Amino acid sequence: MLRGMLLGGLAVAASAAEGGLRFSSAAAHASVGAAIVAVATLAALAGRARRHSARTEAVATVGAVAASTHRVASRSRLGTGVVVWLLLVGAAVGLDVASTLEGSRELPTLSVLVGHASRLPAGRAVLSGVWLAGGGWLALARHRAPARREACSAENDRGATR
Amino acid sequence: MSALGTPGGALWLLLASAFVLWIVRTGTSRRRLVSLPALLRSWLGTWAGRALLLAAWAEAGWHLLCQRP
Repeated sequence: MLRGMLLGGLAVAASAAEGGLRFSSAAAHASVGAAIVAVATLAALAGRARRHSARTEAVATVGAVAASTHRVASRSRLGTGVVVWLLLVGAAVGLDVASTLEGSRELPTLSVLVGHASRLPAGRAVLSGVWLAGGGWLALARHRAPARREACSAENDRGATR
Repeated sequence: MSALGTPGGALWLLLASAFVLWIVRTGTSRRRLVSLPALLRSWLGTWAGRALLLAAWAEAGWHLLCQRP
């Protein structure tokens, strides 16, 4: 609780300070770089502290990520949720790529749209706050156990009932 | 916010609305549909997924806060 409040307070202070910086300034580059390093360190420390064995945590292949996605999808109603998420993200990426290639004012990229808000100090502070909150969540969120772990548990359960 | 008045801006607004609708729909489905946090948590369960998500987060922040006006 105290740790959360402390991190939240730091994030709010950093966002407020970020709002006063210009995107091209060295100070902005330094502060965003520092935030990236801080969140990556936090994620590494939090990951090490999790109560999973070194064996399951060492799973580091793209296949393992796909397996995790499949595991969540198989629990849902025919994986509809995952399919819709993939379609939405695919549409956003596709539209952004098309906008970048087109280069027309009639088809702005997502970053041009966000740039309208982030030009203003308040918009930049809010954007920075949302970004820091997202990073903090990614670093500290309780994740689901890898699929291999569950598979091993199921195997053990079958062995125990024999 | 003149960019939102363009055809491309309208497309982005439509897509944003679809995201919000789907976030609300999955958030209220009592775990029958996969919510965004559930999907992200499943990826965070592996080092590769965690590294991928953090890299995307870092790139988004750098791009939006340091490269774009």
